Amino acid sequence: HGTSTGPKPIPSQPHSMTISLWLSPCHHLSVEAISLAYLRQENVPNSAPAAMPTAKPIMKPIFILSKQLGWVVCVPQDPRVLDSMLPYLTAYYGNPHSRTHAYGWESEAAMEKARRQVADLIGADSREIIFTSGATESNNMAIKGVARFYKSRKKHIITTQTEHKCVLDSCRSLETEGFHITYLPVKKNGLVDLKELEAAFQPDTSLVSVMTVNNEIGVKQPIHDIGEICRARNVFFHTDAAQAIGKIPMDVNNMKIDLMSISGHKIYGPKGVGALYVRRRPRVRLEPLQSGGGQERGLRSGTVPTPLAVGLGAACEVAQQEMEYDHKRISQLAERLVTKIMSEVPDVVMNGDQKHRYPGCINLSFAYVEGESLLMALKDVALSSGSACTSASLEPSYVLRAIGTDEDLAHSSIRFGIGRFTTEEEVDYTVQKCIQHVKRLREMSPLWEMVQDGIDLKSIKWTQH
Amino acid sequence: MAASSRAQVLRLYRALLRESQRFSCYGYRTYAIRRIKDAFRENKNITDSEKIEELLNKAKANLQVIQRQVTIGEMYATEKLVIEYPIDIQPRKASNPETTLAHLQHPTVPPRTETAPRTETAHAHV
Repeated sequence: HGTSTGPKPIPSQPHSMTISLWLSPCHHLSVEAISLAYLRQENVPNSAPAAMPTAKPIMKPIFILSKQLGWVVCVPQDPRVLDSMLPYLTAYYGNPHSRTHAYGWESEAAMEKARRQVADLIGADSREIIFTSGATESNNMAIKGVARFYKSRKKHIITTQTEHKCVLDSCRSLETEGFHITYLPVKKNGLVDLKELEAAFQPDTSLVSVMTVNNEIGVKQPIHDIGEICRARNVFFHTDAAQAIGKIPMDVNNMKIDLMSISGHKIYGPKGVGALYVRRRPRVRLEPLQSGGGQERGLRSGTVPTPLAVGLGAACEVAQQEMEYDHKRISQLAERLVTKIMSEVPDVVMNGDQKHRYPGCINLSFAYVEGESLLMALKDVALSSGSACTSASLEPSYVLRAIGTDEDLAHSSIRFGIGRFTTEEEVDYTVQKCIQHVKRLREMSPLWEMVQDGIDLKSIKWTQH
Repeated sequence: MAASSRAQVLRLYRALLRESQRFSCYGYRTYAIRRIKDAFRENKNITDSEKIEELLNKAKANLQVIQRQVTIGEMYATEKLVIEYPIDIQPRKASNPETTLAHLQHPTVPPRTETAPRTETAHAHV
């Protein structure tokens, strides 16, 4: 499968293969994985003779769009961040934990400076910042660490249904250890209901975990209020601030946050590094996930990757300086995108609250359009690894399900990410392509025809064949 | 003092913009040019000489960062983004709905005639 019998396509290598994925003993899903190089070719194979070079230049897609299933879009690193990291990848290669020589001292100084930069962004003390390998590790450390430390007296944790997979999975694994977890539902607009949160507290609750900004629908939770509620009941408050850090002002003392997860690559820093803020006053105790030489206050053993930590620090400092400018610009671009799409195309739903949101993450559902076809049609702007043809699961996102989106709307939702480096041209291009393909797909859709004729789709009785 | 620092500011501004044009990455190039223009515009009414000196030093440091990053970008440059191409050779609007997905068809399907003229125009641009 994949090789032609006629003249060979350029380049001549298999361009697609069928993969069988076993979902359960009696169901398997066949997925056609199409090679990226082949997808990029604008020529249909066999149309150009083998002797001529590939006529169409290979054009990279622009990173603005992605299917849901988490924050798939990778944001580029800021050049200022790379500039700060390079000395520590070349000349200054010492281990920051070596106390006995100059290489170690420079590395340690750089690491401590980075720690201070991260702490300044969130209003913390630098001793409260622990470097980790990313927000996933930070989330695991916070949830499992706090739960296990206090497990003799407290066995209950509260979280929400729209949390990131790593938080939900950590909670699930704690359930097997004997903890009980309350997964709070969210309102239709994606926000947590504070009355329900208050009602969920039990005398043995040790931790509440609510993410600040949701990575799929962009809603901003009422962190101030949740912090107050938790502090009043002496329960630790953890927030996954990976999407919020550097984009909206965060202050751990103002918001009464006890633990916060930070991710490097969401704020234009390097991948593979993150941080966890652990409050010292009043002290939050954690059982460490990783045992070893006792680095990072004993909470996270292992050599701190100096270049990555320096990059994270630089990213935080740049984010603090650019926060206002970026926020204003991103809001304008988001407004432009949404207004243009909604004015040209009817029956588009924005998922998540309109007001309490971060503008750079927009999730739109296009009614009467098949979502996977739309994504394939938008491949110039789509991130190829997020496309449906290579993903094993065709399930719509659990976040959209939690906010009560209908199945069909959940399947046809697209998440647009706008960042520091997004240009107006990219937004206009995306909007134009989106409108064009939505109109085209709707023209082909029998459901759309029926809606135009005034038929209420919910009243139709579909016959089984 | 005022005259020389004005000339100095303009010199730096032009140098920053000239250097930023050389970024091979679309996002960095557009961001740098936009940010430089906006930053200089934002600070154009400052009169305190100490503040001006501080800002100029920051600009000089940023110029060095840009110079280094432009060089590195050139060493590791990749293909241009779809948006950087002129509108006529960007992926064409489909007149026939099926041609958009033509490239995904199995290779033994005979090619559609509409794609033949497209390759000829693309040749002209290479």
